[in-house]
Amino acid sequence: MRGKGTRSYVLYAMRRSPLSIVGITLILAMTVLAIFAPWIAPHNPYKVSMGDRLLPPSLTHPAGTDIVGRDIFSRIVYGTRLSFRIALSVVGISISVGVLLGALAGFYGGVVDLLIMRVTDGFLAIPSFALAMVAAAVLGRSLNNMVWALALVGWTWNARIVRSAVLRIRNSDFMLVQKALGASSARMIFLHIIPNCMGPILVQASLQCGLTLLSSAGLSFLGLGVQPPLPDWGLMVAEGRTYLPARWWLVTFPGIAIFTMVTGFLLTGDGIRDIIEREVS
Amino acid sequence: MTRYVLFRIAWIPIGVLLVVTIMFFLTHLVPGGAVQVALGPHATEERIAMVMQKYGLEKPLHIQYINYLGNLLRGDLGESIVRQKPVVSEIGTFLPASVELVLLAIAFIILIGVPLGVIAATHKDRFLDFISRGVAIGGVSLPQFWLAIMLLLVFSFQLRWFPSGGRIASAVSAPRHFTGMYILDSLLAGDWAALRSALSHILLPALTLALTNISTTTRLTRDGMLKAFKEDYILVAWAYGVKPRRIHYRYALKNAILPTITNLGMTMAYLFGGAFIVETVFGFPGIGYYSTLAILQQDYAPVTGVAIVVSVLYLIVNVCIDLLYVVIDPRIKY
Amino acid sequence: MSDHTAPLRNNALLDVRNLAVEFRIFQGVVHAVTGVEFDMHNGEIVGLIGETGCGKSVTGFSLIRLIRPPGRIVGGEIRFKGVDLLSLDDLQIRRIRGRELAMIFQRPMSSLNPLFNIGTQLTEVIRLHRVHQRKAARRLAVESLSAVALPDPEGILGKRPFELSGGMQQRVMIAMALACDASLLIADEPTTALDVSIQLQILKLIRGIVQQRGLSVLLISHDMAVIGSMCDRINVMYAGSIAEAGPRDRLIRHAAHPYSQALLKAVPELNRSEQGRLVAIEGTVPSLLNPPAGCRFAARCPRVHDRCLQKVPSRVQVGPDHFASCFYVASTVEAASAGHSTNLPNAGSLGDAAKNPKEDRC
Repeated sequence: MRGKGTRSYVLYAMRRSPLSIVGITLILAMTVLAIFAPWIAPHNPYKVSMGDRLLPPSLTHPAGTDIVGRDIFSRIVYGTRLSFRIALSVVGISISVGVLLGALAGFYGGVVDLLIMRVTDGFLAIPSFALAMVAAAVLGRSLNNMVWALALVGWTWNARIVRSAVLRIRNSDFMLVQKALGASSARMIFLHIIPNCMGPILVQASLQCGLTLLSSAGLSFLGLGVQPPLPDWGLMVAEGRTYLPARWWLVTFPGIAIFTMVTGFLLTGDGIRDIIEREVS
Repeated sequence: MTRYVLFRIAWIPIGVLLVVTIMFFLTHLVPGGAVQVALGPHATEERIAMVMQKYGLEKPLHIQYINYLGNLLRGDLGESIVRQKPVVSEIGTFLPASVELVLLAIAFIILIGVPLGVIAATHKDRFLDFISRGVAIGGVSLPQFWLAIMLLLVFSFQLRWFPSGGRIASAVSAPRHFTGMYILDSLLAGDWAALRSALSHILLPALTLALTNISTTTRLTRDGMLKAFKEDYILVAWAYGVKPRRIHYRYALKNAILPTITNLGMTMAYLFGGAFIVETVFGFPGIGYYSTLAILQQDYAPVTGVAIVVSVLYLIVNVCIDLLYVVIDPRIKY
Repeated sequence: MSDHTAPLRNNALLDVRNLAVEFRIFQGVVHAVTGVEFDMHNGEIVGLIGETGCGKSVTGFSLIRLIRPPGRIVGGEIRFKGVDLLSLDDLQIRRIRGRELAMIFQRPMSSLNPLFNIGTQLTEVIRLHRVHQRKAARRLAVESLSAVALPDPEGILGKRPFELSGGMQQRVMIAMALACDASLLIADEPTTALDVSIQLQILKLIRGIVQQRGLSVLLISHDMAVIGSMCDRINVMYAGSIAEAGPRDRLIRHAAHPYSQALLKAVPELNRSEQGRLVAIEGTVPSLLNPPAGCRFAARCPRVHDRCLQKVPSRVQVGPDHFASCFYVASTVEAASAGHSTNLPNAGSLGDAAKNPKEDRC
């Protein structure tokens, strides 16, 4: 569906849901920071400067400096790149796996469905953070391993959602026609069913980006995720924690950064969900 | 109906089997290497071989699996490699604290999240609606560890209203043991000093857990209320001059509360998962604290043991909620 | 049915003047009700008939100010026992709702809260409006349930709504109105969602209550058979305004407004010996978003004239207590009073087709 009609409708729908506009704006702002980091950040985020340790916020260091003299503001700006990388990787993997499994389960039904759904239920019963912790610890502490660990936790939601969407569409008249026309299973799945599920998938992707960021920040905070000297916000909070309460800026600004980006993703996801639901009703 | 009940209850052991299988494969992804990591780079070959033999780690995978299942059925969740103590007993010590924490957090979630949802529904598309939803989403977006640290900063360090660690002040002795949950126990024993101390220690952690999980409850309450508003019986209530507040809270809410309650089961799993961080930051001695410390020491048995216990609790709670549903809503027939 | 040849009483129970209701939607303003006027007396059953979307339900809702945004009552007076209901504040109108004017709705199956039992819902309303003590309220509830001919009233108190049939649920709703001792019952399509056999029972019940208690009923329906068999007076609504109003027999036998005539012709008559053709009314209801300038029925009217398209016709008296808003009718009335021998055309397939000049006196 292309054309002016869709665009103006989307704009109208967005106007009715100001929260989604806030969300999208936040994400766009973060994207700008990520892309133009080298120009926006005043200092090198990795540059250690022992003479400038633990300085409070000032004009030269808008967010102060940390225990080894690195400029916190620059680290936060470069941290957006890291955050996007983590969120998009995790969500990318978990959506691919989840969509595939969910589509297979919904489409073929029967034993395949039973098998996949039971496995999914098993995963869902385990507290996700615990699962991520175990996986991260077992695989070893690094950013990439954390990404795999979080993806392992995340695919279950997608599989569920896609499966119910597929079930809805599979039994529709449209699909009967396709079958009558002799379309192959693969063709039906990839060309017709999955594109029609894009709505809920998009909502899920956005929400999951936000939740993944929270989990990754938490894991990094505990030391199980991103390792120093990368400018991960969760890691920064952990590093600065021991210097509280006097050096509040070590912890406050990274926290605000996490909050802002997660809010952006969650509001966007909610907003898309509102738009989709309006369309249905 | 009995068929349904039996069916749901039968699901629990199947679910548990799935969970433990997943945990098994997860932790045995790295055969032997885990031990090596646990014992450190200076461990001798003999020491590693000894530990591996002690835990049966050199046997083929399927044998290990069978042993594993056998152990579980006997109630053996393994031993903490670091402390050489059985995980089951350690979990037993730490579990009541977490249960207490989660229950209190759920109470907060209901007390804060539901009214927010009602406000959002009754002021739909107006200012208060956006504020309520904004607050709810804002709560979820806050990293738990960050909120915990901030609350500690303000209420513990600055204002000195609340203590900053543990379950109960060291000067106060723990109440007599009935359930292991300090609040309940001190109430039962009439031990007011213990009650006050326990409450002041658990308040901030519970609040942190709650605030970061109210958004779903608020959204579900709001959606449920809006759906109820469209029903004819609400119109009838208006037509007979029933007070608006009564219509909102007694009629609409009761019909709207069902999905919210079902969701609480899911929320509980989330809370147990979130407890890991909150307990660690607050130094609250629950299973989350226990397993986080363990995992940082590369001690896996505690974590897997905790994960299994929590999963079992989750499965049981969900089945209970499903059965409760039948009681609450008489229209559902099986 | 009350004797409609009795002299008309002066103080009406309900007097609606110039009622106007608007709905603000995305595309603009919908004028759902414009300039509606009618009155009701004690013990009368007044009918409000029209097609879907003609504003009859909206009128009914307006009486107890149940119009919610995006709808708004923008003009007129609703005088009930002398008091203008539109001038009351929220607290006052809440006291009146149920106690003085009660309403029953189209879908009895969803009118009761499924999670509470009948007794709770009844006594709640009774305690709100009549007696406070639980026991007394319960007694009243049982009384009102017997008054609507429900078997085992005590037992019903403990039942949940889904355990009752549609007909029984509607009886409960009527009982609710009786329990509150309302003087006026607004019945919005009370039998439309019920089986035909049950419809008859409910209507009989309502008629019985009117006779016993002197309750007044505003019966809103699109079904001419229902209105024709129940009402003392009939108001015909079209596109938000009242086209014609009059006593039942007069209106049915001598409908003046072309719309009323067409409506009556469109009703299948089972008892007639000669079956005429069913004549559907051509065209569609005009959009109330941008109502046409003149008479709203003009586009479909067989008697349309130029002036119909320019101005909205005002009310003209056609007979005793019989009014119509139509230029054609106005001109016929003028002509008759000027001495011409034209009589009002007889309309409809219900009843006698014989002319009766004496009754046509203006």
